[in-house]
Amino acid sequence: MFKLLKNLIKEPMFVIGTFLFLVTIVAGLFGTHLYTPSPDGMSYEAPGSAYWLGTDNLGQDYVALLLRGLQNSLYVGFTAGIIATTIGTLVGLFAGFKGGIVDDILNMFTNLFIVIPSFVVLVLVSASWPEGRSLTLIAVLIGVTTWPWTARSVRAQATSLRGRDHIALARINGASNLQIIFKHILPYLASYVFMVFIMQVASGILSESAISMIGLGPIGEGSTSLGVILNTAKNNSAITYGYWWGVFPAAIVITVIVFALYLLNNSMEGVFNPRLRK
Amino acid sequence: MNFSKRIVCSALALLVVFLISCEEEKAAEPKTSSYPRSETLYLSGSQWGDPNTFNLLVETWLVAWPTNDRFNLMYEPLTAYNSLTGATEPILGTLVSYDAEKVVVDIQPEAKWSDGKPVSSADVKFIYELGKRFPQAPTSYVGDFVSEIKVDTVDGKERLSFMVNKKRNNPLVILDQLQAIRIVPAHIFEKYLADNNNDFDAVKKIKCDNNPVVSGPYTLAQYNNERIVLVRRDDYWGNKVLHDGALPVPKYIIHPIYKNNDHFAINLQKGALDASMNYIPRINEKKKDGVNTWYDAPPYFVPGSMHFLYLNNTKAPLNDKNFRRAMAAAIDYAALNRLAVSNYMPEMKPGLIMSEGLEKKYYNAEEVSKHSVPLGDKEYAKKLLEESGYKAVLDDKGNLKHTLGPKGDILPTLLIKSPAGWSDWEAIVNLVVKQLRSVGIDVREGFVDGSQYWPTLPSGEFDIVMRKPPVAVTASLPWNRFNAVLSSRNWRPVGDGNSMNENEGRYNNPAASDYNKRVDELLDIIPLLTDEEEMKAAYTELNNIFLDDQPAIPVCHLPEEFFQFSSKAWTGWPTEKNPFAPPQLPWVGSGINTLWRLAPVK
Repeated sequence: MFKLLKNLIKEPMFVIGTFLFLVTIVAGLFGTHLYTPSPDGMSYEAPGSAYWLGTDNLGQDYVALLLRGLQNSLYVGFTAGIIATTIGTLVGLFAGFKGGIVDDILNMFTNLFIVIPSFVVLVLVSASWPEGRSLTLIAVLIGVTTWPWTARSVRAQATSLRGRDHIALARINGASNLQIIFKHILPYLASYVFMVFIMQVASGILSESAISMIGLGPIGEGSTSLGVILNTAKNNSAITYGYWWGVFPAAIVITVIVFALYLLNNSMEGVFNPRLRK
Repeated sequence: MNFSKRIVCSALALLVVFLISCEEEKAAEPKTSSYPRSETLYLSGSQWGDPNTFNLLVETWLVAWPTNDRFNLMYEPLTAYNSLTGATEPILGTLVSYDAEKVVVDIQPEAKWSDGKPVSSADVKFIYELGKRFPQAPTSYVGDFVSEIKVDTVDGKERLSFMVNKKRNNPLVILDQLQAIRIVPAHIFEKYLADNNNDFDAVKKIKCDNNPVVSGPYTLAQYNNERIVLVRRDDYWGNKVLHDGALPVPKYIIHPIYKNNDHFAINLQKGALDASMNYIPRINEKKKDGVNTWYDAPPYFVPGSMHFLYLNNTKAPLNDKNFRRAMAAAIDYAALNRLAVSNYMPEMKPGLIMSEGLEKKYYNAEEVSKHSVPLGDKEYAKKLLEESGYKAVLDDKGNLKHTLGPKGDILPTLLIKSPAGWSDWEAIVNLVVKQLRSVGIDVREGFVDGSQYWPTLPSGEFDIVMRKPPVAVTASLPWNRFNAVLSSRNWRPVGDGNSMNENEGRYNNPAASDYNKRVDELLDIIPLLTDEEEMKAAYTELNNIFLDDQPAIPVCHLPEEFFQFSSKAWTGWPTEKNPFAPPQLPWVGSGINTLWRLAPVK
């Protein structure tokens, strides 16, 4: 384990990814507490000493909005990631380990979710919730619509582990199915599941941004997200009228988070995957 | 596809969606090749979808520009209302007089259709009385107001007397109708009806797009899904009678069909569009590109219509007038003006009468200050709520959790319904929510698709809704506005199928014990008054009742239409300094006179 970590730290991609991600996490967790927003000004005031990143259409300080948006987007990303990874991992593990009819049923279920475009489901469900779409609701919706790829990947790994000697040994020693799955298979897949989780977080942040950008994102007090910021900019024609500060900072923050997570995932794969290990 | 690739694809898709949504549509730019710029006027803001029909017998919201709404470029009404002076100006007819019994109009003897036949009383009677023959006709409502049209001949002119129907007893609405109902050639439409065995629905299917017989200064030249082109009629009868023999200056008028609001601003700035009536935020920033407005400084436009929050007066806590008054006091109207509508409104004054323009003569500032809550006074709002038994409950972070009613019960979160994507209304609602929550009123934004917004208005299935009644500045204002907000004439309970087209907030239920019959009495009396002092007294009394009860909340005063124009291709537009025509695009009411005063830029 220590050796793996040592190898990871040697990876420049991992170091850059970790640094960028930590910066966003720190900004998201503590930014809203440390930064005192300037009082509301005029619509779309340009960046300057009073407003470092200008104001939005309602005269609100963009730095404060971005920090709040980052916090909320990370919350949605992590919540959706945890839900999707948990469901996907459980379904994949059981399908892969049990095989037979359980595998057939769970596989059919997974394939069914894969062929239904998750974004369309997300749009339809969000649209049918015109009142009180909270951040948690959006996160749950994303989580329960994006788990199938995790399930499929974990199932493939679990299937390959099923026939290993240590599993047969555990079975001979009277271990139950649950014990085998959680004690003897899951630990083998932990690094893989963690990498999947990282990508699910990124996917959650992107999905939230997309759904918010078309006006179906979270609503309510303090529910500004990076996608909501982009939606406001779009609705107020910020690009058309040259208010670049309404778009680019939020877009850059989304890009940085997703890029950081992508780097983390790729660097981990290079270390954890024996086939790719240098 | 592995996860990483999916993420990359998602990110790219997100980028593409955003760029598409921000894209400037090249195809929407007008094609100038066939129409010399110096002879072509580009106006836009009325036609959004593909043009379907130019048949005036079809419902107005289905007809294409310029046969929809009140546009008078092809088909003309009897008179035009000048929203700047309040004068009723002649077009096909001249207003002679009006009183509680009748409205008298002389038809212009020189008025002719484009096929050379004279415009006559038969044409007027055809469209006015169509509802008697076909209940589904778009003018069928006329019969409620006009019992009969009597025709005499005076000094060689046909004189029409529109007899006031005692059922509604309202000559003011008849004056509105004079400038709203466009006259169609009876000889053409009677033939259509005869050819179709009097099947009205079959006649509605005729598009009237091939060399239509019109009386106005322009006629249809061509149309497609990108634009509608009108060409000048050099033999227009009104050139001699109404404009001293001059022709309207632009030979062509083109209405480009844009898909979203951005195109108006972009094309006005480029000079590819000469005037538009759509909301464009921060118009002052466009002035450097030659985009101008009536006033050079705020409020830039002439106020003409009020935007409201209609409150459901049947639902707790909105059925408590103290709660409604607290809401009205809590809203920061100056912030709405500054942030939501780009400083386009003058200082907000309470009540249903505008304190500026033509309505100023009815505005009684002293009475208003006695009856109104102080606007934008949060402390007053909090105190009023507290005194009425309402209490705000906050969460750990200090945000409003919910509001407790006078009995200690948790009040439901009130939703402010507004069409999604209407950026100025969305901004108003966002700010109002923020301001009301800050005094402890639990409200939320309820942005909905148009298909969910419009049907809930007549049925009253809303808590609070953004609304703009009435849309046009007409002779019957401010009575029309009072009627739209307060009238109990058709009061029906909230519910699907229970339709009300005025007072959708269900104020003043006639069956309730606290019914104030004085409201409906005043609404009935005012249209019959001719003495200005009596009218001012009646309007003041009605306005006081509104301010005391606050059944709805006016949130801003905005123009009838956002008249903004470019001087890059055409000059001579009416402005505050040169007010020869009202602040309207040259396609409606007296605004059409601008067409004879424009000059192409050389």
